[in-house]
Amino acid sequence: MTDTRTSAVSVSGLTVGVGAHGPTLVDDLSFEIAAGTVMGIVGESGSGKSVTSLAIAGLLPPSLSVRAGEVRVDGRVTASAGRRRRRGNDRVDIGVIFQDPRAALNPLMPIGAQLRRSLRAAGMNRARAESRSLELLEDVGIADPVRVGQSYPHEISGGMCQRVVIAMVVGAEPSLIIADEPTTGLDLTIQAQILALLHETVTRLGCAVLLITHDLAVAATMCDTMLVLYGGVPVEVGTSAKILTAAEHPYTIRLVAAVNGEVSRGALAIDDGGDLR
Amino acid sequence: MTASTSPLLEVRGLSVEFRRRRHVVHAVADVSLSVDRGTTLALVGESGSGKSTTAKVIAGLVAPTSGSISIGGREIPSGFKDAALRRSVQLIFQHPGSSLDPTWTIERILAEAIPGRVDSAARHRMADTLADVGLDPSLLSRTSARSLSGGQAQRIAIARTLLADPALIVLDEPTASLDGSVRLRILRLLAQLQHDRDLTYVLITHDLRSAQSVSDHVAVMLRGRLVETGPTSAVLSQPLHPYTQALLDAAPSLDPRERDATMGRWRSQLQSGAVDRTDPSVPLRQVAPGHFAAVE
Repeated sequence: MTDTRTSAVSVSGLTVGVGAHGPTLVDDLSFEIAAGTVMGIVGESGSGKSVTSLAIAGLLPPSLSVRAGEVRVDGRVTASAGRRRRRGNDRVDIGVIFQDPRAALNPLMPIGAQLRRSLRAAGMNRARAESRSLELLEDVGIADPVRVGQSYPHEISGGMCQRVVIAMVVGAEPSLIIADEPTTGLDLTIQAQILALLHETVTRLGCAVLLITHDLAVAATMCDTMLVLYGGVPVEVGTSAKILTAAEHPYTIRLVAAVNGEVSRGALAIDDGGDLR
Repeated sequence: MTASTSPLLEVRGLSVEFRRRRHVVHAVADVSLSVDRGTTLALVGESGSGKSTTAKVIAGLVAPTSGSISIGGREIPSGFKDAALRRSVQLIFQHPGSSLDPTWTIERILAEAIPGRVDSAARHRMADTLADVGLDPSLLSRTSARSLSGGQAQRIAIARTLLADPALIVLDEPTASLDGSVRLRILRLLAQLQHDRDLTYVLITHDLRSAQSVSDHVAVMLRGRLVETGPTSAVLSQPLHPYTQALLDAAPSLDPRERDATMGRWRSQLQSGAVDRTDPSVPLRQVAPGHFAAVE
């Protein structure tokens, strides 16, 4: 982005490793995300994309630690070397959407009660939380918010659960939303709806989004900028258009070519036979 | 595409019902398909569409409630026991690792597909087949399947399938659990093997667009029923059923110039919820040669 919007998120020299002396999982990562834009971290399994998202969210498991660098959200440090867990106010600044929405919801509590509780934690009074929770469920395309609010997570579909999680995150009005493979495992038509919803949310809230995905085509549609990770090392950062059409790093070029090859007709043609598609 | 004689696989009026306590689930309802030898049919649908149940019936793992299946012109009796007939249809799963016993050597895993004793001829065949799927024959003595990558594990599953000398292979999302670059290599391998051995594939997938490069025909399923079927190029370029169109609209594009158009389609799906309201029970009718759709 070439405009003058301030960066909502700034990551500088982020390095994450196992314990103090174990292997380095993410090495010297720096990038910025402007408010109102979506940045994608793309990479294959083991590239360190999820570790990056956990570090930024301040949710690293005890075995991993930030060795160097820092993360600032709206100017405030949310992760840095030596800092263990996220603290009180971080939660209103950063919302996280994980791959498995059911794991993020309490199976023993009705959806509406969970939503009200998260709104109360963000400082709303009881009456306001009550009415706002219904509004939020409507905003994420749930036609019958009263009935869904009374349901338990197991009574609604995975796509519906993910909508509820998005409603919860949006309700806290964070400066940064981290979405870690938010639609992996969902049907394609549901994925389209969830991602459209997420995109709408960014526009409405003007927050920054960090989208972690293994699906380059999803990133191409959602992201303004992209970071390509390989083996914990950032190999390329740039606008989505540049990464997809004019990548410079050989790994990025190969990754884009592989995904392009899969969807283009004739990519699987056999050299010697010639008669096969 | 090869000129066809008689189809290798024919499915007629297939229905599968599961009983759940007091109600009956119609997993597959009146599905008819035919696949010519040496070609690939992509069976496309989302969760609950009945695509995997259809695949399991074809592979003989689930008994149909009604309907018939024939392979190479031979009618398959319900719950067939005939070993040779069973071997002629093989199945490849999404998670290759889970179909490989981690405590067995690769040789023992592959030997399962070969009837009779494992003699030196059988060992040669196994080594040759490993080479055919792009693996080093020295892997045979490796003891643990756990140290294999996802791509290697899928190649071993493919090698085991080939050793059974099948006419038809049912591929159930064979690359869904693999990374992008590995996926393309496995798809290339499957295309090469099909070409070399005149194999017939039924490919189960949730992604209609990915069917483009790998299939001759597609069949789209929704809630147990076929809603559209025909040559892949015709269905993808001229989708007639609203659900087929919705599947194509939902697929993200890698082209940055398509970005706004794709997001626009996603937003309109979000607003209309069109997929939820599609009625799949309209009967199929022929709209162009070989192209059928469940439209009025």
